[in-house]
Amino acid sequence: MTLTMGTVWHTAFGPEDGSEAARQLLGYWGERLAAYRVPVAPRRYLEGNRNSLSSMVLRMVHPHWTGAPLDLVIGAHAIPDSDPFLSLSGCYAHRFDAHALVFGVSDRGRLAPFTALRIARAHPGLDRILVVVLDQYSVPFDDPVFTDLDTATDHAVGLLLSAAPGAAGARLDLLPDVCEVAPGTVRAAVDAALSGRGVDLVIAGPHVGPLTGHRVVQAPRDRLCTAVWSVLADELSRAGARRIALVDYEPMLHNLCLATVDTGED
Amino acid sequence: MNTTLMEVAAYLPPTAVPIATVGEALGLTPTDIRVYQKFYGLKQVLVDPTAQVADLLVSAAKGLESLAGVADRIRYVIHARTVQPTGPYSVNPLLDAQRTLGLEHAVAFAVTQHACASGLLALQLAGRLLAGEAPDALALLLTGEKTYPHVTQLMPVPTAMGEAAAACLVGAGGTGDQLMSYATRTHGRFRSLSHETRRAFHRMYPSALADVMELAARRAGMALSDVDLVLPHNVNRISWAGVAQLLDFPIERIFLDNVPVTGHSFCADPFVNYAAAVEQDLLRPGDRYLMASVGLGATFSAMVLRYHGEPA
Repeated sequence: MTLTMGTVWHTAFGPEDGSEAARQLLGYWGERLAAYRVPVAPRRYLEGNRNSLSSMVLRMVHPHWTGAPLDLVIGAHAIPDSDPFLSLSGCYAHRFDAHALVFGVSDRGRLAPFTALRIARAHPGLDRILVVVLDQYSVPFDDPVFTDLDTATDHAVGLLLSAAPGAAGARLDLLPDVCEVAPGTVRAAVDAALSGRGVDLVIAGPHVGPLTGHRVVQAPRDRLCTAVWSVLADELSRAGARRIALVDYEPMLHNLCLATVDTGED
Repeated sequence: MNTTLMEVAAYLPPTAVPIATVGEALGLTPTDIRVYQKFYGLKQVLVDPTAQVADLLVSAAKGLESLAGVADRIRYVIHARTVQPTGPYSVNPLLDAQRTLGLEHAVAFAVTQHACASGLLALQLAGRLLAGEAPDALALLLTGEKTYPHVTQLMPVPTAMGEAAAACLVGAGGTGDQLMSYATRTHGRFRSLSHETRRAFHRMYPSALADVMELAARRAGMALSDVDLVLPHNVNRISWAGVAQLLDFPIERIFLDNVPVTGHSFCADPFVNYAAAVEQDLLRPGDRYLMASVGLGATFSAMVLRYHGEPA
């Protein structure tokens, strides 16, 4: 089972126009945070961009909407939605098409996109699959994860894919996920996974650490799920046949995910 | 794809909260509460005041008799959730549950955005993922969430939320209940959980649910009348009476015993009801049963499975 990659695009988002703060959300969050003795930090939500996951997905799809319905749409994210009262599947059905299967994948930290792609790959025969990788930070709590992030800018990367045989485009292969990787052993695990694969370029997540023996582009540290995939969007805009590896490590989970993309003609 | 439901365990929390107490917290009047009791069939909910989300999931998983023997075969741990956020980002209940259960070798993630119908979606996705793994690979599907007043207040149908949880062992092939079909429909008009859309949602609810149940039966190559037992979500009794009437389906074949006992437990209801139905010996080998759930947003889902018999 493989995936063929069509268009890949990255969009940065500032504050959402017309998004009013829903103060009831503070009470909603307060219930959830109190259980873990974390105080509500209203400013992060009230003064944040407040791009809901739904609105980001709709704005990602809109410029690429040709009228041809998508079969499967998966939103992959780490940070919870700025508007959890809004249904992504409902918004997509209302705006575009009620027949697509639309859902979200989370609780995988920065590795959520790899899992979404694995799920996409598990739908052989579907020709129009969209995975939207999402980073937004307007949530009313402080968290250690925000330390390195640029929370003033939200990001999304759209990956238009096909799981149908014979589809045209770059070939995306998902390597087996590697679990129980201690931070000090990431490099060895990456070397083992990429050994003999003839990779021309590695796009490495910020927690992968230094790699040798490959040409490496370090993904930006200021974003989570979209880090390596936004770099891929840039790389795919350059012509030429090459094999690109995407590598990301989630220190919270001790999990390592890898994928390769074969671009152009051999 | 040959998805099998190998074993299901339910965790019924120890504390019963009377509907009158739940209703007071929701701002219901004494008259409302009597209506909830007599008309909607809601008597109490089960909660675990001392438990965090991770505790609910672990309690359910520990009820699986075969878990210890197959733990090393578990490739995915999936938490199907009605409400995506559980708390602060760096507190990850699913990860906590995974580690407590000794399943760090598995890939764990949450499936969301179908709200209370995410459980059925996750079961279907688990089977698809396992089709690409070793033949003996398994997935552990977990359902169960903490109930908070803000969520219950937004429910567009009268219900009371409880904290029952369920754990399912899912395989691809092998011994277990065979997944025969899955159907889901999202009605985007109800994408926002507002008070304004409640009335319209209420009106379309029975027919939309009936439609997706019939679709699931058709996809399983059968008529809905061939379904031996419906394992519903437990929002209330009267809504199911309406659906049964619309479908001309005997309400006796809709398992409603848990509505007055557990309340509506997010994504867990169909699986909690499955465990109860098996315990009460309501299913015979070869029986076809239908699980149904509705998620805010609004997603209506149903699936048909064929009962195998004893746990694998």
